[in-house]
Amino acid sequence: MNVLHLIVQFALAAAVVVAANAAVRQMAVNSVPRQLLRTALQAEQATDLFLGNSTMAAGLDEKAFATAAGPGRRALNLGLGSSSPVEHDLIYREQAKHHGAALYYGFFDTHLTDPPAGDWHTLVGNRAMAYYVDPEVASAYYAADSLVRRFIFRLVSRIPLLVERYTIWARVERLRRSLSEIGMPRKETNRFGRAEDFALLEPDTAEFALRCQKATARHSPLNAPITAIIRRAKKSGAAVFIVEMPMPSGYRQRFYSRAEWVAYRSYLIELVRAAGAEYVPAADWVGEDGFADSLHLNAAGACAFSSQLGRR
Amino acid sequence: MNLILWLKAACEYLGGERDDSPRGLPLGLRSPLWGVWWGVLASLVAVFCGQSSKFIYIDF
Amino acid sequence: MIFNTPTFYLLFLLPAAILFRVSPSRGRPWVCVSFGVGFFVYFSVTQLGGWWGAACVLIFVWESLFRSFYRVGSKLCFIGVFVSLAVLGAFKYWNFLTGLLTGPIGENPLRWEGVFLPLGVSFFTFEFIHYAVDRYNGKVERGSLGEYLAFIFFFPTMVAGPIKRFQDFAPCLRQPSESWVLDWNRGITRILVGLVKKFAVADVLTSLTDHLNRSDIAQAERWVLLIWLFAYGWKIYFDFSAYSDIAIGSGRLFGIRIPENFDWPYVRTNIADFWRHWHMSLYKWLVDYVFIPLGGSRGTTAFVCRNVMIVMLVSGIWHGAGLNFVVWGAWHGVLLVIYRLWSMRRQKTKEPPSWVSRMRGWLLTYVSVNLGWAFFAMDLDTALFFFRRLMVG
Repeated sequence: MNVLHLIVQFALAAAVVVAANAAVRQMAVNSVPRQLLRTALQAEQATDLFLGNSTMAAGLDEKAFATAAGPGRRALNLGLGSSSPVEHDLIYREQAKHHGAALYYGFFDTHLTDPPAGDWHTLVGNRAMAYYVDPEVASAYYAADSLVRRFIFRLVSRIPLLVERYTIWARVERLRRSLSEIGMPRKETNRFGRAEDFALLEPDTAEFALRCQKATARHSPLNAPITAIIRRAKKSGAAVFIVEMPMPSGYRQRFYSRAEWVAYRSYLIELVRAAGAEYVPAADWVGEDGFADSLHLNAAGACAFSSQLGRR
Repeated sequence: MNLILWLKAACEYLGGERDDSPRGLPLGLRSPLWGVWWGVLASLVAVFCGQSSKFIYIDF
Repeated sequence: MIFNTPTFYLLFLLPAAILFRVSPSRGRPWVCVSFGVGFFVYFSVTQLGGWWGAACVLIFVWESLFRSFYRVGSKLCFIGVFVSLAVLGAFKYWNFLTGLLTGPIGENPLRWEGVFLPLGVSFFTFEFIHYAVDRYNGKVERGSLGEYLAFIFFFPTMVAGPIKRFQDFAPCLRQPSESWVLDWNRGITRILVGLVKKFAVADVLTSLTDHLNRSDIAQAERWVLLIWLFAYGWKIYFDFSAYSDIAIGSGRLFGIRIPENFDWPYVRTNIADFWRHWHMSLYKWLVDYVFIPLGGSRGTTAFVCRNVMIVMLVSGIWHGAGLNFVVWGAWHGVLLVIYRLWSMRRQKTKEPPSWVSRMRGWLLTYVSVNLGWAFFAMDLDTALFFFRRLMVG
């Protein structure tokens, strides 16, 4: 056996991995962000566009909104689970067909002023769309401060096995969860995952208060992707509504009753108005039985929220 | 019994534990197929190595 | 885990293995030493103990200097053994032992808050002890300082074994295998198979074994409890044998043969055979440095059974600082004693075992080993609760 044999073996191994990349690319053809963008492209011209993360994806009932808003209204929900303002900006940039439609941007907590943050560890799942929808724009948000990070961003964006790794891992996670459920009481799930898991996303109350306080004290502006979204919408002549998404009463009690949030919220309302948008305070619009978990509305809650939003 | 011993030897050979292949297994160490085997193993590692990641959302 | 990080392969294994191969023979031990020190410091700082953990590299320095006093028959070898046991005891067993002593009071005033385990402490202390005892008995040569440092700092086996012997390691260090292409083929295959065993099997099984806690045991249907326990048996085998595969494969890249650690233990037809094929480097260490010094098999049946029990209790305690590990060790000790007594009786019949009796032996061994895992996987209270739920409901 000589080194040539080993080189051939390495080359074949690399070829198999490249083939695996191609298989992953094929598997990811129907990933949720790609489906969302295809749906938006194929949809009729919308009169009302909805952007945001999973709270909007779960919370907006297009039919209920359109019925409440009146005849001739067509709602298009572009909410995307597990996503950030950068991904929302990327989605909105692709909506040339729907420019001019009223824009509703749903948020909660300090998402409007938190600076964009994303790296190898966090740009996964739906957020991985930053690597393939418009990597130039995304890397300008996520890696503006470092040539090395920008280089790594561009390198990763060329390797489907890395970009779409959560697509593969999610299947393994589903296998693990189904094994885990054997012989155990069933856990409540919704389309985003296990209901009890979302409680883990709740911030620490002290840390939350500090974040609000700092943003108010420093006069933090609306972050760059939100500013870009509002600016693009205004340029196309669209009305912009920034919607404070419904939250369960327990959540509001723990976080939104704090003085730091109240002060931050007043500051936020001024910021939003200065940007030419309208602030919609919908946090207390839906009762407890309208929630599927600690963050997301269920079907009844979505209907109630969407109808009320449509009637405004 | 011989079959079982042969299978054991084959598993050990494919697993890198033995240097000599069991009689009847047409896979010498020079064979390029080892590269294919490595590629399959590496791909399996890539598929299964995310289990320490914290999954909250899985709608993708 | 260290073996699943790109850092291990890109920063340590591949550069070290290549440099080792191309270095002249005098430089090779120092390649192992420099990468081993770097490995210990890096992973101590990032994973285990921080800078205090990294400072424990001084334990190795002390050991490498003190070992120069070891001579055949010299009592200084025992000081070396004592120091190794003291290091292991201080880091691993201090809180456990002081907790036992102060149990009646309630709180443990001697508790060492912020205790950490130096990287690989359970393994490197056993290698130190082996060297000291074998030097005392004249079974191992002294070796140069570089060779001994390379032995104790050989990073592929530092974290989880196999436990090496200097007399096996030194010849490979002096004259590593020259067929590096063959070694790399075998080594890469072994490493990849180890990673697949770890990720695709062991980690998937944790979705079952993570349920081995009081709350889930209380809620689960009874029939699934045994599935979880047997899944644990497979999980621990695939997990641990995977680490050994990666360590042995990594050693192969250097041209250094590391002893095998597992040899199809779950197909063995009696408990003694199981232990001869499960974590073999530990088993051999226990035989050579605990069982034989105690008197081994020379003596009355009761004496030998006593020795077996002590060895298995030591094995249990070595695996973890907790009463459950003591019970686990005792469980296997009792199984070995029962087997010894049974096979002594059986020897008198002089009949070769039939196929049926071998299957029976296999089933008994497999079930009893897996039932014992309950004490390994859970604390004592939870393990007893598990069995209560399993048997009574």
